[in-house]
Amino acid sequence: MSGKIQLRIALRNCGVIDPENILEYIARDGYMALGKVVTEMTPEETINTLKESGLRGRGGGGFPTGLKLEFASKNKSDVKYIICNADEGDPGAFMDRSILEGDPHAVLEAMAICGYAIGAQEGFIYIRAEYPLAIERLNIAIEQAYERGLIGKKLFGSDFSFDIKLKYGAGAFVCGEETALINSIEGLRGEPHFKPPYPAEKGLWNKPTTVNNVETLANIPTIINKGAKWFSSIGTKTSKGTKVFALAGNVKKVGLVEVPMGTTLREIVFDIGDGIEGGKEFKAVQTGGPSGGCIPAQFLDIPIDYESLKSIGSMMGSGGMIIMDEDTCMVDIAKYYLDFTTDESCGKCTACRIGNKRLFEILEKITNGDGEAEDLKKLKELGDIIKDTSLCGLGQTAPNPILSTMKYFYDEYEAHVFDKTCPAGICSSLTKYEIDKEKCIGCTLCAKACPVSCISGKVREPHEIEQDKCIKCGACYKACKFDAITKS
Amino acid sequence: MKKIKSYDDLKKLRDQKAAEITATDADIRIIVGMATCGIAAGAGEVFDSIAGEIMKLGLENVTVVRAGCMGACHSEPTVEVVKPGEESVLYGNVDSARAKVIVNNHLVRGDVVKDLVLEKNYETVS
Repeated sequence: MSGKIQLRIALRNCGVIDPENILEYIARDGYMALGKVVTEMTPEETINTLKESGLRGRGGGGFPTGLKLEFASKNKSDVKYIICNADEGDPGAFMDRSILEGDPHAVLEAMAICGYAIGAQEGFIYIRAEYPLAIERLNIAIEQAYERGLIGKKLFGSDFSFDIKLKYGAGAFVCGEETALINSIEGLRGEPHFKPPYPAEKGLWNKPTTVNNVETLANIPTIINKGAKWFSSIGTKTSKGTKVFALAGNVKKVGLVEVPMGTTLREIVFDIGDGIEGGKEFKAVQTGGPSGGCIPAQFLDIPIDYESLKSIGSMMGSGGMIIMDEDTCMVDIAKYYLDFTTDESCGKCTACRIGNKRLFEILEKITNGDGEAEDLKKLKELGDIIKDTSLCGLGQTAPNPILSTMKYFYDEYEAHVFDKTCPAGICSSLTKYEIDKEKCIGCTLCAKACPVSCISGKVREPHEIEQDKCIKCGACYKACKFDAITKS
Repeated sequence: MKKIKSYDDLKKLRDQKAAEITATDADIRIIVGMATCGIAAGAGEVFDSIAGEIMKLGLENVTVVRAGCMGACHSEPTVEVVKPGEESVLYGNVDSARAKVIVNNHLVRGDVVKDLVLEKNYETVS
């Protein structure tokens, strides 16, 4: 471990303060940034500070936060809204949940700051109902902030008032897309619509609206307190500040990490994560969830920022980071994500609804051992078309897991299609278990473990697997103590 | 409860509370990581065990805090001991029994329970 690579800005209070006690937040400069902007800064100055800081959206797209607020501030309207997008849905991601559970006031304070910046009087937190503890702590935080007069009417003796309410999502992944999210708050079906108009122009109930992700918001109070220059001194040329990642998969130390932009994957996986479990080889890291891609070992030393990840066929996404070892089948991984996106497609546009389903079917065909050369061409062609023609971010990025694994692990696709083998031994249809007669001592453990009784043989004599009956569950492989069973 | 009516009100409250929790006095803070994940790993029992042991021993000036996630998912439940004038110590894989050992060894005798210490590999902005 070389020094402290992690720097916690968004997570500054997580695991430090009692989230259910507003006084602990106040003791760590809580609501000071809100007090400062409301009493000492104009809305323009607030927006300019955020613009100069270089803060970009942490929910996936990476759009400059200050610019987003500026658009909404310039659209004239007596009513405007701030929305906090807490519909965290990527498999394996829990950055936003941790912030909401550990530091809910930071999000409330930042929403009020954004409200002051654009001239909004009301904010909604759109949070998944599957996060009961985060909801409970948010409700406590909101109640305490009202009691103290830190949200509500005439804040800090000024004319600025700001209210915050919670709205619960029912767990649809597509509702993380801002236009679908707005529909859902309005009580409509959670389906996206074409942009423009952007929410900054016509958002919630057709009023100018700014939608920001939890982690983005959590950075804002510190930027106001410490200044734009301080924030922009951290990170890379195009990506400032830090990013929180949920480190998961085949890594020794799974966990929640926050590192300055520009940290390398190698530092995250091998220094913070302490390397791969069980002494296995690193194979790839998946970033960006179902919208992202798999990054192979050759890019371990690339400094992570929005642009660099995009240039290698993945994306920052919300911060899920799944580490895969040598025993991972990349075709199977692509299939897993496509299964997820086809499930979560809202069905509004054809490209996503049917296109992704076809992609999934082709992957199934390949992993079942029925793939043909033509299928590989189709995957690429159809994937590119879906990216170009889908309505929203879900469809536009859904083929990424396939396209990136085809780019970097094409040999595995070829092995499945032409040699009918799965190099990692994951795809059960392509796996064959056999007993090495030299090594088998006839202990009968494998026969006892087999759930379909397809292993026969006398005690103390080599056993045999009846291939027609074998369901390739691997129970015998695990049971054998003499390495007599081979998997191919 | 007193409402905050001005920026100065907030500054005053901040200064007062900051003095209370930054342990400039003899206070010891024991922080238990209690986000959903920590609780699932048994942080609730650890919290109860620490609070119970402190009561039993009649220790004063110790605050046990339910906090959010400390990020060390690989070693939940996690507990951090913050003593005034000393570097804070982060413990991992704590259970009810180990929690009592931490209270007795670290808090009472001042001996860090080395086997359970996790490296605190992060810096936090103040």
